[in-house]
Amino acid sequence: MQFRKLFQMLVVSGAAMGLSSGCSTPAQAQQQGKDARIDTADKDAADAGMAKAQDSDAGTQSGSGVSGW
Amino acid sequence: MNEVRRRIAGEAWAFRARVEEEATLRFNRLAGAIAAFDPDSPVPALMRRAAEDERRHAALCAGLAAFYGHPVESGRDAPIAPAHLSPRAAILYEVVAACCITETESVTTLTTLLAEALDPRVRSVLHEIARDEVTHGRMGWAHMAREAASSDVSFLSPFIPAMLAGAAGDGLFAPVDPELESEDLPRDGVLPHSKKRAIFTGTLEGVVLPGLEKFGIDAGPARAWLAAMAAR
Repeated sequence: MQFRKLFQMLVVSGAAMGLSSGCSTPAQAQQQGKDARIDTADKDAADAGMAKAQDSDAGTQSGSGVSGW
Repeated sequence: MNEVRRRIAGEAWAFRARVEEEATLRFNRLAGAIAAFDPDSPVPALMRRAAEDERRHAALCAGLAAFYGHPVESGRDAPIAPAHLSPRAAILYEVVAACCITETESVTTLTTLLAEALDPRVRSVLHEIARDEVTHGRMGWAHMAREAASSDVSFLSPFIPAMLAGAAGDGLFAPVDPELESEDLPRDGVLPHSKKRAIFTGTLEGVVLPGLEKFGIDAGPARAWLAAMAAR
């Protein structure tokens, strides 16, 4: 598996695609009356999420993931 | 084909049909949510198109599940972000989990399967799905890039292990019955368990974690989770 090629194809190309049209800068967002910045998560809750993930038993309280192929 | 192979293949394709249906619902919901705070973003349009792709994929997977004699359960939409996150942070959490991790993992799984000797009907389905999955992975990285350009996204770091645990499922790092390691499984579109685990780990180390680091997200907790799982 050529992971370097996949990195370029997915991460680098995806980022370029996202930034190809106007960015949602904090200033623009403020002008639109929207939430300008992403809130920082509560650290204790994040640590709890890590601990629960170690038990492979994460739920919506601490977050979970998406099943795939 | 023996009954064990038929059952394993049927379960796999039924599971895929359900997760593809769930992706349809998730992408439609996320498209509306992102458009509300980032109207210039190309991501909502990509997500709506992806939702239609996933609907088609679900039907293809359900067709194979039926061929192998396995029923398909309906999927449901369930937000997965921690309840205490702000709405916008929760959307980013979910896009990272669904696209940057799970869709990226799907690309490598599909690519690996397509290199195997496959039943023709399985090859046809995999080909059609693989065509779309690259775009689905990219749209996650596209949203990440836009959010990272306007905000600090490093808060995600301690949440990545929960996302990985959900993507891996309960059994990926557990020992399995020998029947799940059969070399005959790929013909029906199923990877032997140890190969599936190796691809999951390789994709994380080679693509997903470097991708997160590119946007300033510390991959240390994710690497610690991976090491703990590998040591089981």
